[in-house]
Amino acid sequence: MKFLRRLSSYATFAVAAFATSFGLDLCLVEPALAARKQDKSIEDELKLTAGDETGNEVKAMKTEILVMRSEKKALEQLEKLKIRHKGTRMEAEILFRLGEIHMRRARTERFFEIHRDSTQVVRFAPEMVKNASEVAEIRRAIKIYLDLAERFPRFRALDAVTFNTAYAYQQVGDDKNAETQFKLVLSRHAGSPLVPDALLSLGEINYARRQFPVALEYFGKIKAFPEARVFPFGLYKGAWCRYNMQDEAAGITLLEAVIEFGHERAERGGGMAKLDLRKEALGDLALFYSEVRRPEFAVEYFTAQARDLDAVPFILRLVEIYKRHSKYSEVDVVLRGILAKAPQSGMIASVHEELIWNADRLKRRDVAAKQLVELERTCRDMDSDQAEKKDCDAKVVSISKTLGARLHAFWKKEKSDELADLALQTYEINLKNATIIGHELAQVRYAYADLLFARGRFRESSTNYEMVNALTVNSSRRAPASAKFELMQVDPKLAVDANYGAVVALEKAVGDRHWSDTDEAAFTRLADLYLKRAPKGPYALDLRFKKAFIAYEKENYDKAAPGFKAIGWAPEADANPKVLKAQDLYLDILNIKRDYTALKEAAYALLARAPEKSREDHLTKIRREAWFAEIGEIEVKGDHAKAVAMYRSFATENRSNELAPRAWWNASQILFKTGDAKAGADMCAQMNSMFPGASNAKDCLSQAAKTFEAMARLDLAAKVLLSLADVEIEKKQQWRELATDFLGLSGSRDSKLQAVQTLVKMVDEKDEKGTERKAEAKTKLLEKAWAFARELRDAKLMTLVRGKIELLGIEPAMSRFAVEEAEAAYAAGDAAKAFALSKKIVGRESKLANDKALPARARFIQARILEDEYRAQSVKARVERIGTVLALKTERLEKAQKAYQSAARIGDGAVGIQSWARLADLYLDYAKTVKAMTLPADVPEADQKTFKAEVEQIALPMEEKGIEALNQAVEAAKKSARFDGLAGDLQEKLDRLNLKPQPAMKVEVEKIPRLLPGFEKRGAASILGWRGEPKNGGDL
Amino acid sequence: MIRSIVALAFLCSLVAGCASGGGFGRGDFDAKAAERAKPYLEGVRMLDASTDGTGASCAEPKADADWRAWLRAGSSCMHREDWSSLDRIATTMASRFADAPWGAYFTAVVAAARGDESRAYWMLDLAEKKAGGPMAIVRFERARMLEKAEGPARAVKEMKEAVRLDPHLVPALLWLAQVHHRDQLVSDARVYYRAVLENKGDNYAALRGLGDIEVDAKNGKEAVELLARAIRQRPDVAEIRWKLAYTFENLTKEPQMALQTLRDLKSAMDRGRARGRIGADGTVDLAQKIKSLEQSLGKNGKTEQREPAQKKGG
Repeated sequence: MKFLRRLSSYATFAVAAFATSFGLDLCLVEPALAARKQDKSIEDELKLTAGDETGNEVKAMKTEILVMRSEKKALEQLEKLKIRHKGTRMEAEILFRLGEIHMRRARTERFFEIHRDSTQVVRFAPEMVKNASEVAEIRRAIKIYLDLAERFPRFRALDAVTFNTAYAYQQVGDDKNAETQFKLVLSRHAGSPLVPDALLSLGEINYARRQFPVALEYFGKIKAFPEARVFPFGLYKGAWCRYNMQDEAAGITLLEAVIEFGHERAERGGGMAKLDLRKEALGDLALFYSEVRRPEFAVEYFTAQARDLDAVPFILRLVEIYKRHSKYSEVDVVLRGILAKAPQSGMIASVHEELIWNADRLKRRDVAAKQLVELERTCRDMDSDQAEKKDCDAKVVSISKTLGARLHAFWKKEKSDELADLALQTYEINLKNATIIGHELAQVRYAYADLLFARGRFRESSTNYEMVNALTVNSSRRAPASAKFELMQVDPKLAVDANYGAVVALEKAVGDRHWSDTDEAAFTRLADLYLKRAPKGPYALDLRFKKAFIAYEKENYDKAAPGFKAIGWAPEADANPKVLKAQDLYLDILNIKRDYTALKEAAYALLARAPEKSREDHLTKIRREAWFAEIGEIEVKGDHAKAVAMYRSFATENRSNELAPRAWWNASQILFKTGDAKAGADMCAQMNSMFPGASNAKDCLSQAAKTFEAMARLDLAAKVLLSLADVEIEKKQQWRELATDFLGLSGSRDSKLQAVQTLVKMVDEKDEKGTERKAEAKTKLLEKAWAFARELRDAKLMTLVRGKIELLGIEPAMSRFAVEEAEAAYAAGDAAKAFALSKKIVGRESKLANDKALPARARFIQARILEDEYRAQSVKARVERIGTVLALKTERLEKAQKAYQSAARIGDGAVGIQSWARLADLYLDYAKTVKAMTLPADVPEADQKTFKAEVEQIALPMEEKGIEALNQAVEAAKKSARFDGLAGDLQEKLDRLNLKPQPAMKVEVEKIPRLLPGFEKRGAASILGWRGEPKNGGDL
Repeated sequence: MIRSIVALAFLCSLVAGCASGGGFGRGDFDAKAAERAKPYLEGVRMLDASTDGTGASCAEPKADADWRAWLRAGSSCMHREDWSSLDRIATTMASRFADAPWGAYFTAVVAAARGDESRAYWMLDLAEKKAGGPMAIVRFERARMLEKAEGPARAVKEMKEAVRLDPHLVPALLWLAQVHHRDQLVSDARVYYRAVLENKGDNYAALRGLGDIEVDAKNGKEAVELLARAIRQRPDVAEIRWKLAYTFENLTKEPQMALQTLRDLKSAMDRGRARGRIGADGTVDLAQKIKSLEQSLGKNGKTEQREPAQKKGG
């Protein structure tokens, strides 16, 4: 096509030349042109300026308008001349000129047609644009030319008119009329110099119709005009016809003829360059060669054809054709042929390049890489002043970059180590040879670092990533950087990414190992640079975090803490896991530093920004634990009052938390430890109500109960024990019973009353295991209830308890009540009731083996009643009844005697002594009573004496028995150690009976005084001894 | 009976981990408690409320007063039998000086005074528990309560424990001597009387009691010495002078001394300086007895023996 354009230009040129050759000066155009020449300013004004597309468009339009104006003027003049010279010879000349002007006008019209969419042109000349029509002008020209040919058949330049008409037809696409006109040139003007051109045009028309043999015929006729300008074109187009007719060999021959013609013309010289079609022919020869010849001979063939011309570009065209047909092996053969046979070619770098890409296409990437190395070597070996060196070096850089990227890309797919290494090698060549510090170099360096990273060469990777931002080139090979290159300004993303890559690679290089100070410094430097460049970059947070984390791992908490805090407390901090982690690590550092106060406050501050419930819970937990630990620290420091207050506050505020009961417990224990046991116990007493189910509730309650007990606050202890009963279910009854005891002992009448009622109620309750209480346990409860009731002197309660005891038949309590009732009845004079009650108890003697006092007391009551009956028996009687009365008295004595002896034998010491004493009294009384008996005065004296003697006989042994019984009683009393004075009284009685001159003096026991604890004062009367100080101490 | 019931009602007997290391009963005390209580027992003496006063006010001491001030106030209230005040002081002391036995002790005294025996006994036990061992004053108070509620036989054991703990506890020794003496347990009574006199040689009751015992035992010389000392303490008691005269006459066979003693007795009675029964049944004619003795000794006996008798009696 390029060639065809050239032909079109040539046709125009031919027309102009033709016109000139006929002496037709373009006089009508000249004035305008002359005006242009004269008016330098207009010329300057219309001069196009590179890069100013809009301005240039306007300038071109102005030019066209100027030309159009000139042409219009010319047309106007010619139209006037045509009228003036109508019918003359001049008219033909004028018409010829008019046709030419219209052809020129067609070009102007074409300009406006082309710029119909241009805003600038439409704005300046809307009407012109709207009305513009190239075809219309050409048709006007054709019409003029046809009119001329018809009316002036003898016109001097009729061949030119015909040729121009043909040409005009061609311009409007009317090949048929064009062909007719061209043929008219051949037929009517066979001698015209325009014949070769007409032949060429006719060949072209038929070639376009793909009528290659017809076209070949026309082209072949041109051979008859070897001096014609179009001669080589005829050969050349003929070769193409042959090619299209599948006769490549003939085509090659014709092209070889074109080349030969070129060589000859070149040797001849003379400015015939436009007819030198060698390069075109050699180029097309590559195509023809590829069809029929072997690649192995291509280099030699083209070298021979090209002669003094460089054959390599044409061979490379052949290579291109092979490539186009995917004949890569042929490519390789040809290229290697060049290397072998034309190593000094100026295009040797291109050959290398082709070889590289050909290998790449063949997926022989190792070959490609190797070839790159060869290319680099070749370039290096070139002299520095060699013209191709610069291009060669540039290729090395360019190819290595592209090939590196490709290899890199392939590696990404295949992940082959070999590919990675080839890519690295390629990148290294690029980096070594790059002369321009710029974006490309940065990209390559980045890719290189990227690949190093992928290959696990992290430290090198980090270094290279860092170098992306600090680009340097080998100073020994490179020109100094003329301009300061700032990657950040050119490609901030790459700069920041490289920065981040350096950080990550360094991090990887360190791996799980300990961060050395050097590495840490490097990390900090890189991270800081990233953060400076991209403070809000995607990895800014990660880097800030890692920086702090490294310090944290190295236990450099003072350095780590501010970092974590800056992340965790940033205003924009959200639910990002890193932010949360930073917060956690900051809190952890505070924990490690045991700064619990700060930890507590920090956790509290973070609570407000907790993104979700789980986080809130987590922070709340930390805050609580910190708070708790803070208090612990205060406690350890000895500020107990503050610790207690804080524990209390903690427990109250976090009542539902598991630490709350511990806090409460700790506070109580501090109070106990520091001596404020009451306050400690008060706290513990609330434990179960404050924290139901707390693990230490039992211990705390026990401690509170013990403390209140120790403080004699049994009322409080009782309450606590009831709570403890709820906590320690397995001992529920035990604690309840003890609580009841404490209530009874608490000093309050109401509490004691409540205790009695509870104790009675508890008798019927089952124990913790659900079994009924044993009789022993019931007895114990009721005896306690009875004791309390008696202390209360509450008859109603006493009746209640007694009723319960009797209902259950609890001994000995039941019998004790009966004995006491019998004693009361006897004291009240109700002997019958007393005797009946006593009889029942005496009947239970065998059941009361362990409480002998009860049957003994009962029997003693009976003895007292019998004694009373004895004493009531009078012995006053008439003589004849004396015997009977005495017998009755004696009988009563015997009954009482038996009863007392029986009471004494039961085995109760106290009752025994009293029985013996009472019995002694009875005997002595009987003796005295009998001795006091007298007969009436009228009884004879002898009888009186006899009676007296008889009575004495009865009384004397009774007296002796009385003294004997009294002796027994005294001895028993002494042995029993009753300490109630009975022994003394009996002894005194005995002494009197024995007529002792100085009987035992009655000993008065002084009332026991009350002792007061106090401190001995000087002058105070101490009871400790008259000598002042005790012998063996005296402290209590 | 009450004591036997409430003795069970100690939390420590039921709660593991008590200082006593398990079941707590009387006689089973915590050594650590004794250590804690020690400061509160140092310097404390027992004063006889019937003869001694503390001299302190019964009002509650100031809040910052030490335990001694509170003890003095408590004793004062006890002496004045101001049980309400004592109760308040006891409660405060039990709380503020939890290691001291005095809060519990005073609480026991108040309870006993109010007839709340079970509480009183329990508190006395608590007092000893806090002291880490038995206390003479507690045993004495317990004996006092038992004697009042159940008679001396139940009190003797506690009183004996009190004097075992404090051999100088004169009121306890004297009471023990007298109850033994009254029950004709002479040898024991003699031991206690002597213990009283060892601590307080001018104790009239002991001198008289022991004197009686020595008379009964026909130890004339000892009897004379004791009775003479008793008369020095209580010259107004006619019965002692009569017994001394009897001892001179019948045991030491010193009729002149007997006569002089009787003459002194008659003189004192005539002047109203001595009173009381004389003789076994209180019907002795003192003048007749003097006359009888004078006759048996002759007229000079009266004058000759007067001076020595006076010197001897002091």
